[in-house]
Amino acid sequence: MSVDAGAGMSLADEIAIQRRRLPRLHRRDLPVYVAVGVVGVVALCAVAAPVLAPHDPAEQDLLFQFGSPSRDHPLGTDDLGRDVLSRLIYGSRVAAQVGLISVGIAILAGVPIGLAAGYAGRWVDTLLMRVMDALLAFPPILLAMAVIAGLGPGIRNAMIAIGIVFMPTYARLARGSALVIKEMDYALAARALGAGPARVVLRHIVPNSLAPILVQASLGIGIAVIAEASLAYLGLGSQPPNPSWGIMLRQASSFLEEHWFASIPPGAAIFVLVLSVNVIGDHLRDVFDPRLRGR
Amino acid sequence: MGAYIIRRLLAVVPILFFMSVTIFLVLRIVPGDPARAMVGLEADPQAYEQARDLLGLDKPLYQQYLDWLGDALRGDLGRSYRSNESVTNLITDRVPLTFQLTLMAAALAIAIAFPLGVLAGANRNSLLDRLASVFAASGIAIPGFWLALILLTVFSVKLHWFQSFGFVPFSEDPVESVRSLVLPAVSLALPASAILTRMVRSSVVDAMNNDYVRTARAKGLKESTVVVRHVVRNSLIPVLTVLGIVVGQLLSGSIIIEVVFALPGLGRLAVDSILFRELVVVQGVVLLVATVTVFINLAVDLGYGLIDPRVKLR
Repeated sequence: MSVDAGAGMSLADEIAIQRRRLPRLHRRDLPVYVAVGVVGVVALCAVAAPVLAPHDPAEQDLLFQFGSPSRDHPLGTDDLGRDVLSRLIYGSRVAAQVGLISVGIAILAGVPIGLAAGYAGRWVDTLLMRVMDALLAFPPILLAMAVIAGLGPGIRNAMIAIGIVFMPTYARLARGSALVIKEMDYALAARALGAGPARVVLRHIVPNSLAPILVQASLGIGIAVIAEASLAYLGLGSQPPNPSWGIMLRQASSFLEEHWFASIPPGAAIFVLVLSVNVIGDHLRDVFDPRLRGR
Repeated sequence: MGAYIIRRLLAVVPILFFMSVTIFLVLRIVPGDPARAMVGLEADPQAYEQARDLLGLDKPLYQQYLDWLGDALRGDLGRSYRSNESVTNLITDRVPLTFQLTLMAAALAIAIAFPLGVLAGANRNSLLDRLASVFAASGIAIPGFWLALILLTVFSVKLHWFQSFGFVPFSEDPVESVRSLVLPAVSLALPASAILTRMVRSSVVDAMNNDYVRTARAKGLKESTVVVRHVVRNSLIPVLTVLGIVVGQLLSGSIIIEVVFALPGLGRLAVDSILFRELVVVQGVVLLVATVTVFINLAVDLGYGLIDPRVKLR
């Protein structure tokens, strides 16, 4: 929570305070810096894929299938002679898209439900949360598969499915915050001054319940990336020729006997990205909720 | 205890109800027409009408739901369009494999996570604790099917220790049967044991801070006795909750692992059915696995009551 700096404070004082408040570069935090670096690199790849990739990810060279790493193809080529490094770089776009959009869908659907349940209470609360509990009771992958079975395979539907799976978590968090905050003095004061439910919720409850939702979102991105890759591997998520990491693993798995190396780059990319996102998420949780530190 | 059991059982009813409604709605509100999907685009109007009739599409939605639920409760999950086999048979044929795989993976996950988590939590900030943290963080971030591909490459393709594919039913040859599922079980168990290790560790760390631990130490008990007799028992409750969730995840995680190892289990059936748009089969599998998961969690809840009498009062 930020504290408003007093009006009489000089700029120098303010900077001094800011500096003290900034976490010092600590050896224990080294993994966090590395993780931020990794996520930064992936984000850069996603944004600047056409500039960074040495080749067109779809360009086939059937005379050069399963090429060994060389100066022209640092990670070799795949079964159709396409450059693996370029596909990996373009794959980061899919990962970023899946991570952000699925979690976005979950937040946009879950938070309003949770706020409505927590603020309205009574039967609205009971009904909405019972439905959310039922969704939470499903094993996650299974629910995602059921949704895809209904909507049909594809990356868009996979993101919707993952969003639906995550939705109840955000609904619960938002409801919890709404229950606490609506009884706070400032919320009561706002209501006493004649503010309607929409204003109380949007101006007072939402801003003050963001922290746990952001922490959950940062952890959710990693799970979403793994989930979409798994669905793509099963043939239910992103589809070829889209250069997604899950698709690359699916293709690699057909040639395991002869060309096992093909499964390493995309799998390692998922692993390193998700590990980094989780390290950042854990750190954010420590920052926002110091009671959990070291657990 | 009786009242507690009844209360927990009653709490399951609304969850199962809303779950069944979700499964029904998700798979019924399909873009397009399920009857058309069943008979194909070129079918004559009569066959199409028959399909609509068979699926009960003319009835109101709630009636369709009640019919479906009633049949399901009587063990009739409908028929597959492709093979015309009963969905119940398709499922029961494949349950043993998935069940055995889940059980083996759960046993393995517990065997890894408990000792590791207890040792890490009891020796906080030791080298072992740090290694356990790295193991847990990696296990959570690794995609299970990628781990499966790596294990398959190393132990089956390169070292030939295990066969890559194929399953021997337990009733035919128990030893070979367990052997045929070792790699799939390991790939399922490692990520699950990562989550469990974290949970066991943090639960043990919590329990170590209690006064009774100080008392036990003060009266001169060996540290190992303190941990085994006092700490571990008291740290079981939160772990048990997660164990229920983990078993549910193993059950659904086996869907992907079965596909990697080409095992004819429930997962393979579900994935194939989605790709062939056989929603009746998907519905059956999801209903079964979801119900089993709910009952596993119920068993865990009842387990609390046995371990910790305080829980019953809440």
